[in-house]
Amino acid sequence: MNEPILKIEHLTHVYSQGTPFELTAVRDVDLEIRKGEVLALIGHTGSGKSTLIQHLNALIKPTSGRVLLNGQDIFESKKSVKAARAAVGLVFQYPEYQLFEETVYKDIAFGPKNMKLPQDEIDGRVRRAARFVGLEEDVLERAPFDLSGGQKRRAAIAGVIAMLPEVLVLDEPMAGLDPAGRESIMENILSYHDETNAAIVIVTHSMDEAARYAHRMAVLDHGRVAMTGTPEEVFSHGAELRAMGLATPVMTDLSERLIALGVQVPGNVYTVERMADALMALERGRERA
Amino acid sequence: MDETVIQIDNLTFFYTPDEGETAEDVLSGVSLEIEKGSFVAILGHNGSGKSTLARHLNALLLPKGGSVTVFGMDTKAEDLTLEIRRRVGMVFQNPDNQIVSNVVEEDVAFAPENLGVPTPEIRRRVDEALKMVGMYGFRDHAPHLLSGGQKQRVAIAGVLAMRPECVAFDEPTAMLDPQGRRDVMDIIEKLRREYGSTVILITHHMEEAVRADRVVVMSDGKVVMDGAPREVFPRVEELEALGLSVPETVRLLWEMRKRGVDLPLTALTVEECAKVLADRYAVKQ
Amino acid sequence: MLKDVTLGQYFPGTTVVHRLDPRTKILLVVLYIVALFCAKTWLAYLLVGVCLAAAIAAARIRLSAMLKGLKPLIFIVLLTGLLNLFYGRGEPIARFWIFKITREGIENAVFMVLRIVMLVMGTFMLTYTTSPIMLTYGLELLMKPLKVLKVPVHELAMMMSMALRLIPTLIEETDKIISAQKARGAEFDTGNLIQKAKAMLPILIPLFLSSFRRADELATAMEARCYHGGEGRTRLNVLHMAARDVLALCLGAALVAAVVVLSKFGL
Repeated sequence: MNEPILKIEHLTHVYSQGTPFELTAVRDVDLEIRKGEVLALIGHTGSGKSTLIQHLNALIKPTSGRVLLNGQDIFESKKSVKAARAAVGLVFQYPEYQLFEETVYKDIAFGPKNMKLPQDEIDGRVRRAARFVGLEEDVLERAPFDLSGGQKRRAAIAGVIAMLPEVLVLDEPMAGLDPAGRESIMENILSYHDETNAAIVIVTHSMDEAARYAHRMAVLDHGRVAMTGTPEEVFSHGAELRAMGLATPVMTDLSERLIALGVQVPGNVYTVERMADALMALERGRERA
Repeated sequence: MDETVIQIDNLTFFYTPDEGETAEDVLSGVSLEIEKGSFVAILGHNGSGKSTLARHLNALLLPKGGSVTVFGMDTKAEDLTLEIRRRVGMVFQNPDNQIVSNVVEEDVAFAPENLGVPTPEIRRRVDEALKMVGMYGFRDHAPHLLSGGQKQRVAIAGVLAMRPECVAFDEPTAMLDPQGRRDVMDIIEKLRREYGSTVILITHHMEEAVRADRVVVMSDGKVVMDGAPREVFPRVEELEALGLSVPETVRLLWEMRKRGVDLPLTALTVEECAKVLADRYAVKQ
Repeated sequence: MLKDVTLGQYFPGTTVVHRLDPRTKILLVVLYIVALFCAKTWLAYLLVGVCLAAAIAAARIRLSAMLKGLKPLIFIVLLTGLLNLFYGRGEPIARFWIFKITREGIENAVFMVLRIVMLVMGTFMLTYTTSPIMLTYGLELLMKPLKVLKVPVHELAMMMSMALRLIPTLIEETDKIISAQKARGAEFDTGNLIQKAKAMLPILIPLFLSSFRRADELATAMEARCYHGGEGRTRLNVLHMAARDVLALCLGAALVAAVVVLSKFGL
């Protein structure tokens, strides 16, 4: 098991404390993010996911509790906050709405420039980040507002990747894209993961995609961590997930139904590939009989 | 023969280009007939023209070529625009950008107010629409403090208050969590069951399209497939080439087929798929 | 955080104050402001203050919410107080360096601070207890006579209500853009004035663009819901003045009269 890079300890966050709008968004959360893992963070709207992830790079301060980056409290000093911003890259929902520069190149360079890197290093990072997200060189000189929706999303993600974060956190990076767009963005993110061994935290509403890509999952419910574990472990609690307003992967639903109908598939099948494997095992049994 | 409520003939549309640039067709030669009471899902990659097509159904956009006839009314007839918009309601993707008031019931009342409906009747319609979407208890709440799914239900109520005969949904679930998505799909079913409404649903979620009785696939401004879900979804390779996907159930059956097990690709829902597989693999007592 | 801004916020409720006709409330605020500016004596201020306190209590608005709304104004209030404190005429009771403090100065400072605070609280009462739609509806009706002068009353009212509707959304959006740019290492509180102004661009440009996008989508959605200007529009909530409105307006008028009388006699 890999060691944790980020550690969240007893984190609680209360909004508008002391007003009629007081709201506890995150309640006593303990969570680890381990080096090199892909962690899917799931939960219904208002479960506290967005609040939680903004603590990871010190954008908001916990009401109580700590966030440790490589063992150091990120809120300790101005320097540690800065270090957290550089080490933990955060891509917000619909990040294309934050593009502002005249060219895609300049927009991607915004992060590295703020990190006060030397010019040639910035240039290298911009081009590398663009490659990660599959943007061609000629796109770099175009205005971000001339790009298609999918390309804008890529440019915005590249803007965070160019900071070469050790942990890349993405809030629903695939929302609003068509199936092909979703898949290729996810592949881009995974290629960053494979090449740099960065930890990836991905907030998603799509259980099928979480099932396909995550090593580990954390489920938030009303501000608390309700479950953590491998997709196999988490998806074996189908009824609980549905009670939290979440869904289960289609293959989990199917396996539950198949078992009820007397088909001997294992109870922890949650991807198409695994279901096909399980069925092929039955197929071979049939041939022998 | 069923009654046709929407008739699209050879529809062509392009946005007027900047000077010196040539116009690019967003829709080129789309013909489609939609029958009363049907549930039509429209699929297509981003930029395929689905939303542009939808905006022609209630005269938000007017054809540059061909024609769109809605309940017998040509959408180009300016004096009929209001009547067309009343009968074809439209729900958009982002609930934040379609709610006009800071109070739920005042928002739902917006359309009937515009239509000059008498006050007591507006009250009746607002209450009915809010009950229909299960948001009656929130009638005096501020929309911006609701969840995305709740906001979208308010937006739907705002359209239902017009008593439309047809409702077009433009990716209504794209920004919602699974519960919100289920709620919207349940409302669509309820609309059809209780009001017999005609529903047009633009979506990227194949599991939602499975519930329609007709699937229209668009690509580059043209209709490229049109048929019942069980006719369209088995065409796995064609759909993937168009940047679309198929329901997970069909992906499984397709995978089995690739591994040499011949199973019908028409079992779309989890129930149907489970039945097909159980017929073959269940342990017989 | 920007989310804490309460300006223009509406707290739904069913109290008498909430149920008053918006026109009544607008007129009451006007009367209240007149009374406040006529008040010259302690007793007059006390009277206006008691009326305000009674209204706040009747509307069941928490004092904390009121004070929170005042927070952004603290600087202006204190500055006004200080200026008045040092600019009083008359016999100084304390002096240091070039400043002198007079009895009159202290009195003026307290009055000015009270006046601003009470002014703001009074207008907050209007927005806290009246939904923006009702507020603009009330304004539209009150301005109706201006239609004769070809003033586009409905359009103005609609614009105002849309602006009020978009405030919470845009505040949320601004918060998000600031966070997103901070996540890319942007700093907004370092450097000189020019650098600071330049640092605002990554916020202002996306905010500007997104406001346009939202406005465009909202306009489309309004059209799809048959919006076609003010002609022939009806209302979910029709306004009629009830007995309580007449009573409230009488009380408002009585307040002004009392304040004028009190101040005239220097009480």
